[in-house]
Amino acid sequence: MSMNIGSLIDHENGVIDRRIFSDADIYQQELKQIFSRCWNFVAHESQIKSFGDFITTYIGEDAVIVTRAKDNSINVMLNSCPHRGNKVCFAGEGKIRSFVCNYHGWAFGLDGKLNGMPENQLYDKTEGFNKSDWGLHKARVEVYKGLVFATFDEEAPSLGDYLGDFRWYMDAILDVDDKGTEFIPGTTRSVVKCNWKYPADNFVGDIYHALWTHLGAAESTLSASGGIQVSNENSYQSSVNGHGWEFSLANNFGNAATMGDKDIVKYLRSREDEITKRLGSVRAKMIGSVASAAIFPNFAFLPGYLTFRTFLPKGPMETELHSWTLVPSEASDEIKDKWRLGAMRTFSPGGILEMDDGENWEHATLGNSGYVTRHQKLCYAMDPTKGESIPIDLPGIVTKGQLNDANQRLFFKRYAEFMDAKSWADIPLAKKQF
Amino acid sequence: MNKEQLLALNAIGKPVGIDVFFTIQQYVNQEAYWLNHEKLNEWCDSLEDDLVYWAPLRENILRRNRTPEISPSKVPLFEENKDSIIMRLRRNDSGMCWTEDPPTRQITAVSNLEIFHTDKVDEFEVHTVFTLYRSRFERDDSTLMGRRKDIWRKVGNDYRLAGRLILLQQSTLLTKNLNVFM
Repeated sequence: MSMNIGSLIDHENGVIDRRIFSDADIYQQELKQIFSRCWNFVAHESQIKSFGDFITTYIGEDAVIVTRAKDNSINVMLNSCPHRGNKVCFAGEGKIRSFVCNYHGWAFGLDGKLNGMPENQLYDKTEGFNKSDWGLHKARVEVYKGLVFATFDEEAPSLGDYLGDFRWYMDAILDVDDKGTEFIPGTTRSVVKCNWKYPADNFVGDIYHALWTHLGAAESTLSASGGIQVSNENSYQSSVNGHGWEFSLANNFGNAATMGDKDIVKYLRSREDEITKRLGSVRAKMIGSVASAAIFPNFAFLPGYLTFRTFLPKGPMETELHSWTLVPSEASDEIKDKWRLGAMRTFSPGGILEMDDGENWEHATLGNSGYVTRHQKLCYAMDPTKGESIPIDLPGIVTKGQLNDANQRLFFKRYAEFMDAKSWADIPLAKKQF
Repeated sequence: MNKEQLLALNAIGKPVGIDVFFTIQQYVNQEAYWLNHEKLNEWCDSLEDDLVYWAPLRENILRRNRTPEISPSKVPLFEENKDSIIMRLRRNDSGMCWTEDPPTRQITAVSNLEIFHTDKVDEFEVHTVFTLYRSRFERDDSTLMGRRKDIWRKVGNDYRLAGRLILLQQSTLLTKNLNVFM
């Protein structure tokens, strides 16, 4: 029996039951109600540029392969042989013509079709057996400006409807010129013993933690410029369908500067006029400013650093973090290389900023092992700008001031909607206006 | 020093004699002592100015794939020079590194030492493997094993680290961070 999650989340007052961060039954409900239903980020097109390219990853706890087939289509399918269930691909990335299961040798094409197996005649003589019935189980695939998403739910709306007007914000990074973006090769993987929602809610709207968690790290690169600058002046939180972006419009390159590389800031500054012409003055400030963003449920990124990451669930108290560095394709090799190093030195397992975060999320999770502890509530109440009007026209549910729990409350509101919905028909989608 | 030079360290030079071996071993052990006792500024001072300190990501690649697993242009775990190490140490020295208080206890056990001559008279190719154990707070626990391929340079009477390739063995780091030099 599934638990009513709405009763555990008071998103209006920002009071959240801690059991959602540790309960094993709730976690199983998440795999079904959230991860098997949502559009999940699986790859950037640049990782699978040509015929035969593949990567492997996960949707929820389901192992999947993402391929580029001969007809240039992108395929996402379960990495599990329909014969006995073994994984059919153990590599993280590569180029291949077919996936051959190690167990009995069943061979699958890049489109997931079962092409053949050893001793074919055994099945030729088997009445009612059709190879076409036994391909790798496939997901629906859609791409938004280089980012590949997949869903296992036939009833899910289009990716465009799922992202809705959040695309307007995403374009501030993905559509700043005609050439698009790419991932720098290399997937960084690490394990944090925390519930996946801690990093997700951190990226969707928690800049507040930077003022304390990252004080020491900020000394490394920002001490000369006066440390971390965050305020509710000229900053906002925006939420669409549970996706969220908290951002400053005051300090155009605040995040970028934290990498300690002046050339990246110089590069972004050199692009500002052109991006302004293309996207307007508001979004031209969003590629590098003090900000963080997340796409529901578990895909997040940081403007400036351009680190993109998924928080893959591995049980209620464990998360596997996969991260990549995205760069504008039009940037010079020299600038791309500076991003490769700048993002690594700040947001990777040895990065001066990420090092602080994992520690917090692990111990926020672990405490819930205690019966009394997990029956306490968590405070997501911060709301210092209630009722203040928004002086600019922005899509979504917009809150003034980036120091605010607004996006996180809306993330958990969305979470509860998914958890309690019987089908996609019960899940509301924001009207598109931009 | 550059990353290509480090990738070419394949233990094919002439092994050094016992005097040089013993002396360099003392420097390797001294370094491990500094790393294990949070004497990171002493360690940093001992590094050569043109240091390349590189820990590439590991990836599962099929044997038949022709693209190399490790390449200088990929995202790494560490790719440092002396300046970036100094930048990182400012975090430790800030007094505001809350997650390092109480401190991590760590041991880097270094073994399988092999030392070879290179085509430069003052540079030596040093191979080691290490076990890095970390314990934090009550029960936080992590063990990582890796291989190091170094260039140590003779400067006056000292030997100084000029290049290090660190090959951790996990493709998915089964730990939350690398708050540590290896």
